[in-house]
Amino acid sequence: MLPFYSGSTEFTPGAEFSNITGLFELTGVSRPENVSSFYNQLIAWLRAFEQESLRTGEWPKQPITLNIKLTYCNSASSKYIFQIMEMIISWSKYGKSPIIDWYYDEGDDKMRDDGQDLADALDYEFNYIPLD
Amino acid sequence: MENIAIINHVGLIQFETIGELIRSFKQRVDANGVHMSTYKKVLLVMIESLENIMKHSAKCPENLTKSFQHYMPVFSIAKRKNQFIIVSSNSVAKQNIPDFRERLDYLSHLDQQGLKDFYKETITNGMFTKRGGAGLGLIEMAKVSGNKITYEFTPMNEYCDQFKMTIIIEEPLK
Repeated sequence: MLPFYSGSTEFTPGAEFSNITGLFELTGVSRPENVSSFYNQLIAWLRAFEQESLRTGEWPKQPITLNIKLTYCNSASSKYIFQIMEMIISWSKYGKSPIIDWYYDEGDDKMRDDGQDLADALDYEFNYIPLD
Repeated sequence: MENIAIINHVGLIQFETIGELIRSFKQRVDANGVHMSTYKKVLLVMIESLENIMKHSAKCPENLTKSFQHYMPVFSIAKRKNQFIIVSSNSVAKQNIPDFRERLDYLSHLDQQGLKDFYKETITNGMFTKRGGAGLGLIEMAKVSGNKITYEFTPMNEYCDQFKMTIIIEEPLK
């Protein structure tokens, strides 16, 4: 299995998902022209990662970590990010409770609130990390 | 005090148009030193409004035979004192209006906690539309506005109404 990498554009987030380290990261702006196409490939990769880890019994040594470093996220993207979070949180049943780090620019209350709303909806604790 | 126009767009909204309008907005607003939180809220309402126009504008059969300009989507941002006034207007098919109006009316009765609860309910239940929206955009616009969304439907012809929505974002006074 290979890591997933997709470079960022003006309206599409950068995505780096490593099956070796278990670090999954989204950066930049998320308002893709075809939001389902963009996020479904990430969801498919995560499903494959889960199946591969279960098949081999080998998970990354470090905790599974999702870093969200978005400066803007439209509502259509939010529902897919919710699905991604829901999926990796479900891996808690394998003893792999993920860490979710939610980064936001210092002073960007809106972006921080977005994280809190998702955390509330998932009933899961995020870490909120302001960026200078 | 008069409104200061920041964006005034009349015409079709496509994906590329949204990018152009965002760049234009950033060029005009960054220089004014708007508080980041306010800036992000205006940007959210702008993008969600434009995406709604792009996804949900009705193609009214009489568009090309009557005054075409009259049926064109309209989008504007103006500033008045510490308020950003964001107005969007587009055609909607009459058959979709009852559900749409019901959702808008429901949102208008919710306070901030009610909006948060409705957001949670909507995203958790996965009530997504075929066009990719979940109604989340309207909820998010209502959340960040802090003011009620005002809207009106004006009959255009037997197929469509013109839908006009106004959202105000207030910048905290310094």
